Amino acid sequence: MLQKVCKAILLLLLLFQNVVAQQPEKKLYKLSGVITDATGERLSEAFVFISPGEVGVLTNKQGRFSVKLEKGTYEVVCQYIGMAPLRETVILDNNKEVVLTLGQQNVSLRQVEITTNSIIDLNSVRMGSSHMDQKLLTRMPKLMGEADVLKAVSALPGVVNAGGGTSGFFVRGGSADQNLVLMDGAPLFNATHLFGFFSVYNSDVLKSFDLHRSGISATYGGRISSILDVKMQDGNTEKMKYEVGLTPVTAKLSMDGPISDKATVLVALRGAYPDYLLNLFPSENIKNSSGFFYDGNLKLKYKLSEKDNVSFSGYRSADGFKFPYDTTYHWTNTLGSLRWNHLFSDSFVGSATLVKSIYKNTVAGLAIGEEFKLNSGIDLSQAKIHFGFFGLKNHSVDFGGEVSYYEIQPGELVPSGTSNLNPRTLMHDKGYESALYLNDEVKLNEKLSFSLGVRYARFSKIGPSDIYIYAEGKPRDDRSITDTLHVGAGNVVQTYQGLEPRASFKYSLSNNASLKAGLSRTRQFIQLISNTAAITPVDIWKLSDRYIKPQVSDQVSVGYFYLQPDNVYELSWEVYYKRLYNQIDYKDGAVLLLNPALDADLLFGDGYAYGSEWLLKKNQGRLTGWLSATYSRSLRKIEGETEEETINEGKPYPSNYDKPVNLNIFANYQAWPKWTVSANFTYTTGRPITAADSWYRYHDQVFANYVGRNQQRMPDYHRLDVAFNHEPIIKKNAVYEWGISVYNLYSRKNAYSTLYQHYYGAPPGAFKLSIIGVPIPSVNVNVKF
Amino acid sequence: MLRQIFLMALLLLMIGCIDPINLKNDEQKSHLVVESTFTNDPEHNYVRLTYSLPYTEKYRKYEKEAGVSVHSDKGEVYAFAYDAATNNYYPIAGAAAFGTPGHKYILRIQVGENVYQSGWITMKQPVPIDTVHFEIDEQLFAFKGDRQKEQYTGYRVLVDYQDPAEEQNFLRWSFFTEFEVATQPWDYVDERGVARPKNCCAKCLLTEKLDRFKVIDDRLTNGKYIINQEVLFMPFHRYLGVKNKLKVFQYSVTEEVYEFYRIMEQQKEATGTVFDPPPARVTGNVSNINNKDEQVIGFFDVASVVTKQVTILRNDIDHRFLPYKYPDDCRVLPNATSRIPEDW
Repeated sequence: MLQKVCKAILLLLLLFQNVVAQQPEKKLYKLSGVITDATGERLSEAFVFISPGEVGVLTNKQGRFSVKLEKGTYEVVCQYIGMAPLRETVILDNNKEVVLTLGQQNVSLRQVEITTNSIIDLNSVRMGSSHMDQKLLTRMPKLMGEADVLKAVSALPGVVNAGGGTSGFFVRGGSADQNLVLMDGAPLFNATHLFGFFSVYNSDVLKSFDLHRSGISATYGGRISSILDVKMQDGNTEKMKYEVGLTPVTAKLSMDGPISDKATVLVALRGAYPDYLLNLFPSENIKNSSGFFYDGNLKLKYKLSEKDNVSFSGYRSADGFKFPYDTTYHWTNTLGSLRWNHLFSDSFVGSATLVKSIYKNTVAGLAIGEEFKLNSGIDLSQAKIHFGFFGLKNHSVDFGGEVSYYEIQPGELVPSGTSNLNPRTLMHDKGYESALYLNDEVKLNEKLSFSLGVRYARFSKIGPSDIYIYAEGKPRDDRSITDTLHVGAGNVVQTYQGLEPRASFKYSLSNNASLKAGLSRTRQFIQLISNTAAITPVDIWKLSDRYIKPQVSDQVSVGYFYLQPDNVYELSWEVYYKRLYNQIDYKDGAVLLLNPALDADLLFGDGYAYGSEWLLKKNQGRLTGWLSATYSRSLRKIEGETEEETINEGKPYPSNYDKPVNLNIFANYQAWPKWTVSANFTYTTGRPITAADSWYRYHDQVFANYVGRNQQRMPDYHRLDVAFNHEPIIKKNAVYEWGISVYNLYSRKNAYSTLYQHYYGAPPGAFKLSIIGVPIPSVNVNVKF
Repeated sequence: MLRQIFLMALLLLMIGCIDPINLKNDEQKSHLVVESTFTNDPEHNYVRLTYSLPYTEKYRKYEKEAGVSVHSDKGEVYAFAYDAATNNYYPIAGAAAFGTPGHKYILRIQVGENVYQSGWITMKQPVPIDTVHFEIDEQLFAFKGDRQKEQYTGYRVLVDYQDPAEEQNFLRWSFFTEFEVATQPWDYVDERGVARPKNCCAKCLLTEKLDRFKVIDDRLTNGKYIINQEVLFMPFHRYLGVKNKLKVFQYSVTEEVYEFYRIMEQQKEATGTVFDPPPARVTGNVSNINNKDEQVIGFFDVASVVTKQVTILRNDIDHRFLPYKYPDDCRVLPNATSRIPEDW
C-alpha cells in the first residue's frame, strides 16, 4: 500500500514538473533578497507581497526569497509577526538582490501589534500549525509571574492541558509523550520545573514557537501527535544588552550582544526560590519541604563567511525537591545543539546539526534501613543534515536525513548504609533511530499549491537485552515467563521500519479564502511509561522492543480559511480524523518501577480520534485576540487474548485525553495609552475517570468498587486569567517593563482529579481535588539596559 | 518507594483542596464481599460476608444466613457459624480449627442457591519476627472517628526479620493493642455546657484491632536481614499515655493476596494527585461457580502467622508529651473496661 502511495507521489511530482515546463516562456528577471530584523537576524517565513501581479512568497529558513518577474516597477511589502510592515519600491530591469530590514513595531493606541500572521496561514499549504512569538507570549496572563510556553500552547485549538497548574498538554487526542518538544532543535524529555508548575523555557530569551499538529512536513518525525518547535533568541549584532527580570518565584538575568564583528553571544540564567512560599503554609510538612530549580541558556553564533555560519545552543537545568523526613528528588536536563549553515548558492542551502540531550533523575531515600539512590535517565545523541533547494520555479524542496542513538537507564537502585535493599540495575535500553526525508512544496498556480513528502524511518533496538518468553494463552506476567532469550551487546534485538507519506494541499477559493487538506502518517519508537496523569520525575522512557511495537498514527485533515480583505478578522475551520495504532494502556495495579518484565504490565491496542476546530481571530485594533473552539473525541480499544489483558470487554472507551468540548478565548485590549489588559478564558469538558458502582467495608475501612475504565467524567474545567501590562517605560539608559497577572480570577476550584473517600460522620462519597482553587496574583518586572 | 510518592502526593494535596461532587449514580450495584482469613493460628480465622452498596445507601448490609466451610487437601472440613455479636462467621471447632503450612485450602460459601468458592491456596511457611522496636517520629494520623489526619508525635513500630532467600516472600501485618488510659471524668461538661462532674471512671483498659493495608514483597530485598521495616505508627497521645501491650502479627501471604492488598493499599493512600496511579479494579479469588460473570469482591486469605508481643510503659519513653485529655468517664470510649486484670 505504502509503495503505491509513494509511486503516486513521484508520478504527481513528475506530472506537475511537466505542466510547469510547458508554460510559454517570457523574459523574466530574478528578484531575490534577504529579510532581516534590526539586529541582522534573518527571518524565516516572513511574508513578501509584490504588486502589481499580487505575488506572495515566504522566505525560506535562511530568510531568503526569490521570484521571477517581468521588467517593471514593483512595490514590495514585507510583513513579519511583531515587526512593523516594510514597503519598498523596486525597479526591476535586471536580476536584483535586495536586503530588507524590518524594525520593531511601536505599540501605541493607533498601532496595535498584529497578534498572529494571518496572511501566512491563508497562502501557505501548511495547516494545523500555530505560531506565537515572545511578545505575544509575555502579554498572556501568567502563573506566578512566569510567562510559560507550555501553558500558552494549551490556548491553541486542538490542545488541552493535562490538569490545573501542570504543564503537560495533549494534542488532538494524543498522550503527552506523543508531542516532540524541542528547544533549538534538541528534544526534551521533561520540559517542566517543579512538578509541572513551570516549563523549562525562559521567556526572556525566547524567540518564538510553532506547534504543528497536522499536515506535518516530512522534515519532522519521531512523534505521532505534534511537534512543538521552540526557538530561543540569538545574540543581537548591535551592542551588548542586559536584562534583569523578577517574579515572585524566579529571578532572571540575561545578556546578549556581539563579541566580535563575526560572533554574537547570549547568556541567560534563571533561578527559583519557592522556599519562602512553602514557609507560608501552615502545614509543618510543607514548611519543612524545600525546593529549587535553576537553568541557563547559552547561544553562540559565529559568521564564518558570507555563506557560512555556525551556531551553538546549550541549556542546562537542575531541579531539586526535598520532602520532610527522608526523600529528595533531583533531576537535570542538559541540551546542546551545534549547527552549521551553508549557502551553496542563492537557491541551495544546507545545514548540519549535532544534538545531545541528557535527562537524569535521582530519587534519594535517607531513612534508616531504607537509604538508597534510584537513578534513571535518558541520553540522546543525534546527527542531522538538511538541504533546501529553491532552484526550480515554484518548487521548494527540502531533503535530508538524521540518525539518533538512545541510551536509557530505566532504573539503578543503589542502597547504602543500613539499607535493607539489594542493589538492582535494569539493563540499559539502547537503540538507533534513523530517517531520510524528501519534501517538495509546489506552487502550481495562484490557486493551487501542494506539498508532497515522504519520510522513511527505521529503528533498531540493540542488545544487551533479555527477552522474556511468555506461555501461550496465559496473561503475560512474571509467573507466565517460560524462557529468557539473551541478546548480546551490540546485536540487533528488533528492527522496525516504514514509510511515512505526508501531503498537504491548498486551493485558493478567492483572494480571501482557501481550502486546505493534509494527510500524514507518523511513527514513534519511544514512549513514556507513566501511570499518572502528567509527566513526573519517576516516569520511565522506553524504546520499542519485541512486545512494544512502534506507535503509528494516520491523520487526514481538511480546513477552510478565510481572511477579511482588511486583515482585521480571520476565520479557520479544520476537521480531522486520526487512526492510532499500538497504543499503550496499563493493567490494573501495574508495577512500573524497577520492573524488568515491564511489558507484562502493559496492554496494547488501537485507537481513533476525530474533531472539528474553529478559530476566529481579530488581528488589528484596540482589541485583538482569538476565540478557538474544538469538538473532538479520542477513543482506545484494548482487546487482548485474555480477560486480564482486555479493557472494558474490548469495546472502545474514552482515552485519558478525551475532552470533547474545548473553548479558549484570548483577548488583548489597549485600555489606556500605557496599559493593555489581557484575559484568557479556558473551558474544557472534564476528563474521563474510572468510577465506582458501589462502596464496601473491608477490614473496617471503606473502599470503592471500581468498574470499567474511563466510563464517567470529572466536572467541567473552566478558568479565567487576567493580566495588566504596562507599556515599556523608556528611560535614558534602560527600558522598564512590568505587569500584574491574576491566575484563576474567579477562584474556580477545578477538579484535578476525583476520588472516593469516607469521612467519619458522613456516608462514603465522591470528592474532587483542586490543586489551584484560589486566585493567584503576581507581579513581574523586567529591566533592559 | 510508595511512601515517598505518598509524601509527594500529600504535599500537593495540602496545597490544594478537596470538595464533594456528585457523580452519576444510575449504574450503582450491589456485590457480595468476602473478607476471610484462615491461618495456622485459630485466633485469626474468620469469615465476614457483607454486600457492597450503592453510594445512595449509608449503612452496611451483612449476609447472616450463609453456609460457610473451609476444606483442606487432606480431607479436613471446618464448618463456620454466624456470630451475631461480631457479624462474623467463626469455625465451630474453635481452637481446633487451624491450618498447617504447606497444606492447601479452599473456601466454600452457600447463599441461597448460589455457591461461591475460592481456588485452592497453599499456606506459606511463616517468616519469624526477630525483634520489634520503636523510634520516635512525627506523622499524620487519624484516630477512628477523626475526619482528617493530624500531625502527632509517636512511635514508629519497626520490625527486624530474616527474609528467606529460597523463595519469594510476601508479608502483611495486623495489630492488636491493649492500653490503659487515664481520663478526667470530674471535668465532664454536658452538651448544654453545664459542668456535671462524674465520679467514675478515670482508669480504663481499652482494646483495639489495628489493620493497615501494608504489604511488602522481597523483590528488592530477597535473602537480606531486614531491619527497621516500619509496620505501624502509634501516637503517644491516647495509646501510650500509661501502658500499652502491643501484639504484632506478621502474616506470610501468597502472591495473589499480596497483589490484592497492594491495590487496596494504593486505593487507601490515593490522594487524587498527579502521582496517583489510576484507580484499579480489585480482583478477588472467590467466584460464583454457576455464574462466573458475577463480581464477588474480596479474598480468601490463607496465610501463616507469627506473633510478637511487646509492652511499652510511659516511663520508658524518653520524650515529653501532654497527658491524654478526655473529660468523661473512660468507659464511654469504644471497647473500654474499667476492670483491670490483676496481671496487667
